[in-house]
Amino acid sequence: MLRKLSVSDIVLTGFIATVGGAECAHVLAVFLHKSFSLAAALTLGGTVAVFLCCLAFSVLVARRDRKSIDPLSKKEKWLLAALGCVCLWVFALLISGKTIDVHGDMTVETVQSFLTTDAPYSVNPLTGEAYTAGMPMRLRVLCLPTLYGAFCKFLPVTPWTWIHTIVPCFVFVLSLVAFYTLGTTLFPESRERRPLFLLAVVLLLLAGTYAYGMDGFGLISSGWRGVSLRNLILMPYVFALALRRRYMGIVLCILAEACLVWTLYGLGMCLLTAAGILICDLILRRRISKKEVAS
Amino acid sequence: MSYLKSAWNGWGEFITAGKLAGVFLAALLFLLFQRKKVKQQTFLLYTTIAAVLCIFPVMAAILMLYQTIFFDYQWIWTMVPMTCFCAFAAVLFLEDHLKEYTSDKRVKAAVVLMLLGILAISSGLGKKAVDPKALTTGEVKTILTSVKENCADETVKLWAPEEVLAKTRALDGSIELLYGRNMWDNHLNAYAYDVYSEDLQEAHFWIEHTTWYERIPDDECLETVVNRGVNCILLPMEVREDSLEIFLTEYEKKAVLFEKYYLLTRIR
Repeated sequence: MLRKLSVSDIVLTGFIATVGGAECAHVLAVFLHKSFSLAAALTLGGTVAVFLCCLAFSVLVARRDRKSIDPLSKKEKWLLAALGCVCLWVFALLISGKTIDVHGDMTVETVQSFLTTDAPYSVNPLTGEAYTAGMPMRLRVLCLPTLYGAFCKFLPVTPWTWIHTIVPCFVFVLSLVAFYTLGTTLFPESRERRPLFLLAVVLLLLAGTYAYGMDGFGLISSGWRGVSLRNLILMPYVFALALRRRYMGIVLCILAEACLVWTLYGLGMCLLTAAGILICDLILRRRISKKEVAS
Repeated sequence: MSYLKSAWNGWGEFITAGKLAGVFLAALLFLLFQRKKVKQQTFLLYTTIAAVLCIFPVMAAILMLYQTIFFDYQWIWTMVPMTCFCAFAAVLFLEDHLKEYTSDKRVKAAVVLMLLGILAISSGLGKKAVDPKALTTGEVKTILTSVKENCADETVKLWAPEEVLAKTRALDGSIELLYGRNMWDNHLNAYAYDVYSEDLQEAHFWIEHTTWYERIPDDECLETVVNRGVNCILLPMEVREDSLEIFLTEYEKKAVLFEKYYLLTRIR
């Protein structure tokens, strides 16, 4: 199994495992009425365990691949330098906090209410009072507030700073890993094209900050939201997995999306996209085999 | 029918704010003409089909049904790899097509600059308009500290203008509010089944239009606020004198904050 995995696969699978762990802890707190403190402790513990496992696997894979990696060419070094500069610009935008857009989002209020009441959804996060008519179950099961709240509970950082400033930085790094995995899939023979691909992706993200729903807006202005995590991390990874026909990974992405974003009973964009790519792949393979038979 | 209408209007709105969708279609056209040279045929075929499904209203409406009413039109474009595809096309253009056309570095540099220029123009240049009423996080924190110091009760229930309430629960989860951000940000109403009663909506209108004469009477607004257990009010200083007098029958003036608000607390 380790032979097929790269470091980027391990990192992204670790992210999905973290989301899965947070979901289990969140469901425990919501449906079994356990305290948020317990859910937070389980989430944080799970995250640390996942991080250590990913680190160990990454070291093993890096050692395995060390001898087969050629030194960087001059062109690659220039491209990586340019990519580094643009990434610094993105980090500066994220850390400045001036690009935040909270319209239609109440993640910070939700985390604050979890921390204050030590129970998930015991009060309406927007008013602090008890719900009169309740909230949709499909929102209640989503785990992001527990995942973020777990760090706010045990680290000396306010929810506002953690969610609006630090989390988007992590999301940006993970999105680079996801887009790099896709770049490796799209350009398997040419390593030189991958940093150029990443550079183009980051420039396109910066250019796409003008409207709600664009990937760039999702990263720069709302990098903590479930839809942003899906669009920037899960979707590029799904494209990469589907093009490589890695079905187990696709299933994990579909499950992760169901934990992060409102879906049609678990049927989300990851499933639709993966199905679309696999159908297209089937059509093309049949066409090729017909041509081979004909010739 | 409403989905069809949203799908019809959605595409128009999607391409109005910025033109990255145009860049994407140009990239798609370029690669379709070069399709025999493109090794990733599955990626190209899928992107083409997905884009067609998202543009044409009937299929777009079906996709909107699939993603549920919780999301607007633009979210169906999640299934189209716009960013990756444009980047993929850019790499193939620069690495294959441009290399075939010329080996002159100056020409290549000029082409790269033009592409960056096209990207900059397509991004909808210009900054978002800043709301002049908006308060910084630091200002709201100062206000909330003052509110907690002056309010004698253990639990503070606050009524204030939008620019204060917008950040209150995000900065301090212990303060209750008469109403939340979903009073003016309708997208937040999707997160709960609760609705605000008419008297709360009128109280919101009252405090956002403190100098108007044509609104609910001051004593009715006061009654709403008192009955809901509000023990702390931030009234804008532009409030009319007669309105302030009525509120001072149940609340006392404790402080003036940022020369913008009267801080009133409940008389015990």
